[in-house]
Amino acid sequence: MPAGAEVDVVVIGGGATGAGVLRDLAMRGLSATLVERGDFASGTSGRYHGLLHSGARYVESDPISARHCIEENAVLRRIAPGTIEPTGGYFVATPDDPDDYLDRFPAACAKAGIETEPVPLDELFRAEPLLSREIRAAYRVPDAALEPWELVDGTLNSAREHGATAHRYRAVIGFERDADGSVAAVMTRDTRTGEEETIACRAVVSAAGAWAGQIAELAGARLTMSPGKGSMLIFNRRFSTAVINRLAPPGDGDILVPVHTVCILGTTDITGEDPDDAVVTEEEISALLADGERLVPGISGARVLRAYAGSRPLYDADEVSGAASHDESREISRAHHVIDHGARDGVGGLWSIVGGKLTTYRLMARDVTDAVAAALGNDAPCRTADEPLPEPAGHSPYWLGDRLAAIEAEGGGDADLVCECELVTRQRLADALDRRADSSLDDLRRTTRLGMGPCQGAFCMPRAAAMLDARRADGRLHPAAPDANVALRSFAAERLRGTRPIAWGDQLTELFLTAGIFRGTLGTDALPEHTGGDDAAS
Amino acid sequence: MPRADVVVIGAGLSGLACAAELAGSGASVFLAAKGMASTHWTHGGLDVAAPDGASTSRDGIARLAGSAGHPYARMSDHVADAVAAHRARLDGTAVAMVGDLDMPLAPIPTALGALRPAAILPMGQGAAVGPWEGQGLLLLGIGHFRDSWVDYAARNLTAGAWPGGPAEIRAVTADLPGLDARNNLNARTLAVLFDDPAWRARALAAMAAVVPPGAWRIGVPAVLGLEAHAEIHAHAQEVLGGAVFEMPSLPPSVPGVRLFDELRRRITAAGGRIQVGFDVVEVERDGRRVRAIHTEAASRTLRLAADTFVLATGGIAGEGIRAHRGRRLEERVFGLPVTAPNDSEWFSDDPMQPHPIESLGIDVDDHLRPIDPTGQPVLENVRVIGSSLAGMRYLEQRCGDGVAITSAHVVARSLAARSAAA
Amino acid sequence: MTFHDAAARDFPAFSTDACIKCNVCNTVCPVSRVTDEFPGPKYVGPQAQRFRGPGEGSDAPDHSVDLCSGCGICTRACPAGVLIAETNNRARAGIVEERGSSLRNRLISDTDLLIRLGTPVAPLANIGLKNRLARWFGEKTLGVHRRGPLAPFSRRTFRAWWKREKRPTALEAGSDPSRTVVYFHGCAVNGFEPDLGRDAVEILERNGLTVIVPPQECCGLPFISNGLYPRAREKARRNLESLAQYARAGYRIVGTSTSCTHALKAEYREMLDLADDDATAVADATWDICELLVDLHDRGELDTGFAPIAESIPYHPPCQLKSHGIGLPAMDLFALVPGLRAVDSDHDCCGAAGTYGLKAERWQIAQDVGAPLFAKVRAAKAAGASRAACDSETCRWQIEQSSGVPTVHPVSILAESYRRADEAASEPRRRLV
Repeated sequence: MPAGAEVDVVVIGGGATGAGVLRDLAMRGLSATLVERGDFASGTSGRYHGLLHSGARYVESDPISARHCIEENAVLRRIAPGTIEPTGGYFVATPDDPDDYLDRFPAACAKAGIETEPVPLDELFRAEPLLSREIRAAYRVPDAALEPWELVDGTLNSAREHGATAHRYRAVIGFERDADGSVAAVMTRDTRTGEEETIACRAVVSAAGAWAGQIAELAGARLTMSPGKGSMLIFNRRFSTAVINRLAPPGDGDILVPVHTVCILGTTDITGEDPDDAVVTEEEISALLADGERLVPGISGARVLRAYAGSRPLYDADEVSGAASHDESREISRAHHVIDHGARDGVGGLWSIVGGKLTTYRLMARDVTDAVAAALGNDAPCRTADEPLPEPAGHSPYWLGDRLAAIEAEGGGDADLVCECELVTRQRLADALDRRADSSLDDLRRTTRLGMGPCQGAFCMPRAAAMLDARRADGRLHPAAPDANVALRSFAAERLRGTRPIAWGDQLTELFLTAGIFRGTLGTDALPEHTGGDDAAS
Repeated sequence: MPRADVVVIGAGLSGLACAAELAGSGASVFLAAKGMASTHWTHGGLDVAAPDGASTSRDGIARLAGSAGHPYARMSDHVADAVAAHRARLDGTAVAMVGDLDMPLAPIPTALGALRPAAILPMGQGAAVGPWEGQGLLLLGIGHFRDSWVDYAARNLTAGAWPGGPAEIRAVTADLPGLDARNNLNARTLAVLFDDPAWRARALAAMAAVVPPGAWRIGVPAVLGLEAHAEIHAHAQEVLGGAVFEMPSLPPSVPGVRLFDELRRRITAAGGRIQVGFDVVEVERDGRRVRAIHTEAASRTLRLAADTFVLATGGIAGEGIRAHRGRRLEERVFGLPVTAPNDSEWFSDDPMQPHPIESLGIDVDDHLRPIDPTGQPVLENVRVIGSSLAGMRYLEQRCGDGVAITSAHVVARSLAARSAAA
Repeated sequence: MTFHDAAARDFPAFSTDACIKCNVCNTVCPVSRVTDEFPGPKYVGPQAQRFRGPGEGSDAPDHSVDLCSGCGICTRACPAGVLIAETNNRARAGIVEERGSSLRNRLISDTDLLIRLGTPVAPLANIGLKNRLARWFGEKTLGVHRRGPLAPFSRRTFRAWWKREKRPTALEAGSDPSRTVVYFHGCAVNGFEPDLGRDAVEILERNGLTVIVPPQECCGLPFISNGLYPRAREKARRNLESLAQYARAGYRIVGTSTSCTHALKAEYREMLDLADDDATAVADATWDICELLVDLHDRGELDTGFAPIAESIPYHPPCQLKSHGIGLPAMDLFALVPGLRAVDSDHDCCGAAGTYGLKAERWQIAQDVGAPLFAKVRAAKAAGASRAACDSETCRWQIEQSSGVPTVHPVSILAESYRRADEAASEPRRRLV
């Protein structure tokens, strides 16, 4: 096995937490590298409902989380405004929600430091005309919509500016340990080329989230995760201008988040599913829609684009803190926890950071970085809350009409649109490929929203595949990147996976139209497995 | 509204063909449709039958007719007549068809560089079938047009096997006048530009300038004009110095628009009426007979009474059949029983392969009347044609157009015979 | 209000949910056929709609939607039922609400005002309308194209004539709802084409219907088309106030302008959110005159004693008529006139689209949209047609001005046929003058 780089710290996991840890380490002057087995933000961070929590959701069930959320909510608005749409949020009480909860809510919020304001119902319905008229009370809270891919992207870019490196499609396959049991190096494999590399290091932070148990096991440490599956539905349009939460203890179908052009109804919570096999079931969809009806009557008749599930990085509280265990994952603390495997399992130099929320990613990073830095003799202060992320993440807040206004300013029209639904221009895609020449179409989706609209890629997939192919022919594509045919097929399969559970109504029509275009006109059923060499094109 | 002999519901290929044939035979026909659809989405060729292993369309028909429940199982004798009638309708127009049922199914290149089997094509696509006889294939793309991918297509065609294919495959791209500055560029805007003789002359000159020396058949994006297509196609062959064929890409399908326009003109020229844009909202029944349908309107509905109603509203894609949550299927006009495959899974994992659900549709008797599960006609004066019919996987079997025109022909002929007898 | 109420209220925009991006609309749009400035119905309609909504910058991030002429052809072509043109219209109203409207648009929308100003000085005003210098001045100062289709003012309004003739403006005792109709004449008949109004009344009376003309104003459609919804609502409310009592009592409201009647039938509810009982009653009671005559014919009540008119006439069914969803009633009526052969123009749109073709910056687009139609009409004239026919006034003016061929409403041809029949029977009825 060839010797690779040598760094102070290897960070495992390219979600928000890992990216945050990488940035924090780099800003404290430690050399660090991050490895992620898939694309950045493709796990739990990318399968997110898009809510920048105010914390009000957890004021009763998890006051520590609530406090963390409201503090970090303010921090993120400061350091990453470009990833946030300041929609505001409401907590609304439907007739099914308990009176006592409603009574206790304002005080509980105040105690957690969350500003709330009662909203007269007529004002609420003027602002949000689609909400159920059975709603009987509402409070305004400082919720917002958060774009996870931009956040992770911006955090990694910041880390890179401070000298860190990050590698995607690099899976951890093992650890080298010293005689005293401490980790000395991380063994990795490129999941696309199979190339292996060992990274020598002084410390390792596992920010693998729902997969942290598997990483710990590879290092000979012990960590039992209790991943909670959260399923969500994406609707084709917004039903509200602000985030809508049920004024009740967290349950299914109780948050509606407007994100970009869509809105997301979440979430179910099912304990103990394999994070790699999170399938959305018909029962979950029914439950989500039934509960969604209480917020927006008729929502179950509206067009759903996709169903997807994320895996919450919840840990077994019993094991970590000695607290009593619970059956329902929702009752397990969402607060994060730093685990020093040296102290606990005799695996020195390995820390796991588990639990927490996307909203609190920076705080989680700070806490684990504090522990690692101290162990490495670094006493530089944490500055991640002070320094904004580089643009565009650090730029002005997002608003819905952003892309359309930009295209209109250029004269309007669709000649340069690759993805028409989400207004992804040729230039935007080219820029994304310039930045990451090893991208698949699905990777491009995460940073550009390619294929995320109503047609789910029917029109943009072949166009974008042709762009990949042209770049490959020019030698501008990374050798590890999939060729255009492979990218096209896997992206189509990925899009289908999210559509299948909700394939009724307009979305089924869309699916048939897509099949007709692909197989009927373009003959994709007979497309060669790989696209050919460069000899054909002039 | 005066009473019509026949009301056809749906303006896809089957509805248009049926109305054209009926109007041509002297019947009074009213075609009512919610919108335009299938013609504008598809390649404009005539896929009659090309299941795996079929050598010709006729062979394909026989193979499909052998599988119980396939629409061809009850209509295979009429396909040849239907194709002849359809071709006769289009002869002498810009969408005249070439090829026939006995021609070997030839692999023709798609805009993405895959091969699909074809035999009967509109004149403008005919040169795609070869025989290549030592000629090369030149894919001539149009710069700035986002649905033209000739380099990618050429690499795919080179990568895949193509027995008896061209001696050489090359891709070139021409920049046509003014396209770099356009805000809007789709197949239709290009076709409109080609209709303009002055622009066309400059465009074809720019295309000719990129054609390398050699003996080529030249594949171009399917944008060679709408109104003046025949003239443009001839002009292009002359200027480019080789047989030219159009390669349809993403919708909108310009060949399909031409076909729609031609069939629409046929219908109105023969005295038929077409109203597009209004959904059927009410059905008046009298036992097992339909007395009238009502289409939506700005205020009161429009009542359309007729002796016979032809349902040509399509399947899922055309929204003739809607799927609701919980796999409830609904035929939208008459509420006819919908037959879906028994498979527990509606979809395959691979989006490029057939999904079991694709064979859903309405079961019919030999007169193409809708039947219930016991085989009894549900409505006696309703006929079902085109992709509303159950039992085919039209994409995989490449039989959708053949079933459309054959079912249209069978119905039109029997109704025309009846009104002649009356 | 439930989701469905809200959805119904804001229905055009909600219908965009059904878009499957198939591009059918882009193949039929007459405006994007002739200009690259308009991005086409899919882009400005269902696509842009997903990006509209309250935001930091603006609720209306786009402006190219203003190029939509509102012809509605896309809506009718859409296989998924998306109300594309209607969505565009609302988006335009949103832009107007946010950024205001030009003096020109406010003026050309206000036809009641124009008639009030123009009629008393009709001879002078008409000289102005024909004077190239005056029109040039109008274009430079106001932005009304010097060759935009404008009809000359009538010297006396239809309403003034009606009043002078002491004809009924309200129901008389013992009126029979099945034998009495309310005539909604619209601005065109009132200020510019009173002869058409008289033709219509002649025909209706000949077929046994008593015609009353109660107080009414411009239907408001020009305001709607220009995104000036509050002004349109004022007009609509006053019309509903006047007309609803008749509609509720079972009287039919008949119009000779397919544009005005479509406003009464559809736009009041779909665009202006006037979905109350009055609006519904009026919508349900409103008939296009040809639609009404065909209905009489279906019941065997139409006087079919038409005298021959041996002529082949090009007929252009206007976009607004097609949006009624009532087929082509004029064609059914023409078929009753011996010797008359009406030839459907088989062309999408004349380009005028109400006030669209008047605007200096839109005039050329409107001309290009209608060009093939004008050529067909000219060819028909060369082949012997004395005139063309079309049901909507601004379309008639556009066709007439751009082709040079006189263009009339279908009922004017029917009225002529009836008169000829009377003359042949040598018992001429008194022609309404």
